[in-house]
Amino acid sequence: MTPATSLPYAYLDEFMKACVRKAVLKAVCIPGYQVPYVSEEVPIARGFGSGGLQITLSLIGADDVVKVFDEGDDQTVNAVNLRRFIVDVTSNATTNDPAEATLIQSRHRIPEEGLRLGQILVLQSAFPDALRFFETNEAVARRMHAEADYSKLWLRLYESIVDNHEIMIGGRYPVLINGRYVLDPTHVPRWDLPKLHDCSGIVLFGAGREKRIYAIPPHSRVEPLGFTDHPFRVERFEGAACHLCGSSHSFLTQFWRDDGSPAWVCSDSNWCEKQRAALVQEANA
Amino acid sequence: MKPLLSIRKLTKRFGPGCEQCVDESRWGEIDANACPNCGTVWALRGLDLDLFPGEIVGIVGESGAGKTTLVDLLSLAAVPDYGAAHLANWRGGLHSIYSASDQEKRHLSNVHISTVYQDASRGLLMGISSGGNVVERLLASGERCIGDMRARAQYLLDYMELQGLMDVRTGRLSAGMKQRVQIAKALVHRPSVILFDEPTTGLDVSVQARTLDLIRKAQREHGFAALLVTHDWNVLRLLATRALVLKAGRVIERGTVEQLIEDPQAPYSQLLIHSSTT
Repeated sequence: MTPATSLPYAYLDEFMKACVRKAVLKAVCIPGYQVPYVSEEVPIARGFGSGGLQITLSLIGADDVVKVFDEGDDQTVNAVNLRRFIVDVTSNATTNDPAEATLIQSRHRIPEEGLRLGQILVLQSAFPDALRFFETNEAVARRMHAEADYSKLWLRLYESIVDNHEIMIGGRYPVLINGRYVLDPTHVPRWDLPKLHDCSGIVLFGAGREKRIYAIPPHSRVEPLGFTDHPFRVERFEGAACHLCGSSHSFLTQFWRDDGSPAWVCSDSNWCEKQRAALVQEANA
Repeated sequence: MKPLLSIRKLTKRFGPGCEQCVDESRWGEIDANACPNCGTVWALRGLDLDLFPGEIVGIVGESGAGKTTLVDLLSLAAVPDYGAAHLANWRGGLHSIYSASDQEKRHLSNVHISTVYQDASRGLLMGISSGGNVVERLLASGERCIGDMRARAQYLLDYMELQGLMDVRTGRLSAGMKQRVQIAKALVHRPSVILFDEPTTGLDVSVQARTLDLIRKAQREHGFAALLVTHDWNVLRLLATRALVLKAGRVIERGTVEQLIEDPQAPYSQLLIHSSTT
């Protein structure tokens, strides 16, 4: 389908793109700081990735190759919808392979192989503020960020250890950027957080409903919070392996077969495909 | 002996003030909090106090006398309009604690000056375990070893006779237990000063007696200095060595607790003592 002629390239008008880019620049300059911005209406409901979509549409250029995935899967409804909309308004090329993509929009996952230099990962963020759990007053929360007053966040981790003997926070695990701001990495699983440390690509977070943009610039120091005697740990899948590619060193999700027995599958569908292709090649050789 | 906390001319008003009530020399004429001319409320007027290491000073007075304002000012929850407070072990006592930045104030109220409130929900997070409430102070000052922090919290909670309640949500504890969690939390950094704002008001008599015993024991063993705000002369007699009587934001009498109880000088102190013993 060709882009509708009445719409500007990439849907947003130039003024709006400039606003978002300005916010992105500021966010990159102050790693982890939440930059307020004018969140424009896009034909996606707030909470379905409108913030990420605005960043993608503002940064996209004619030669960008776009990958959109959701929960690690390229074929989920949300990913397909967003990808189709981006193609409709830009006619840019898309790919499922993160190695080929220059602009990646995602929810929940960072590609299993990580990011390389020159890539931008746009994450759709629902709640930009890691302090929202304890402090509902925005003004107070901003003051706490300004003063690096994060004892309540640490308390949340402490309580998790008291209840479960280890930190059992699945998503929104607080991470410290360059020793200064604590950032909410949205629902990225703990598994992916080590990839953010000293990452070559740029990671941008867009919260459309909350009207905030924040970023992790390339090669930032990213430390998930942890205690000296209870350090941060990624999820463990003891004895589990993907039932399609046999991988036991990727982030797995569990599902139930028709006969009720449990099985595991790679969360990153493209990575799983590549693993299977490699296996086939090995078998042929 | 050098005072630990020396408070000079501490003044807090709510309102703009007028010529009549701003003039310090005429404060004796105004008998109420509110200036009759402009209506400005003077919560505290020129309070001077030296608190020495290891002593407990009582603050008495009826509602509206400025007791809670004094606690708010010293716990750095509010800023005075005038006056200073120097803490001997913070910056060598050279600077008033009100000249501290917001971050320094947080450090001061976390480590040096602790507060035990009458309303436990002001001092504690009710959705968090009692151990977590104690540990929060350690986390705020940068400790990151769960084992050490839990051992410290465990010791203090046992000390406050809260055995086995470390991982119970604070909101589920009784009122007396909450007060003891507050005291454990206040003790965690071995502060030099603790402010007790009516710590036992509203508790039943036996619980009150037990809590006061624990405060006395903690004071003897940890050696902090304390300000004890109360309207109860019996509490004062048990804990404090000397006391100030406040009325309409001014100190109208000061002396040892025995003196004040046996032989109150100001008519207002006499009224206060007689009304509480009957």
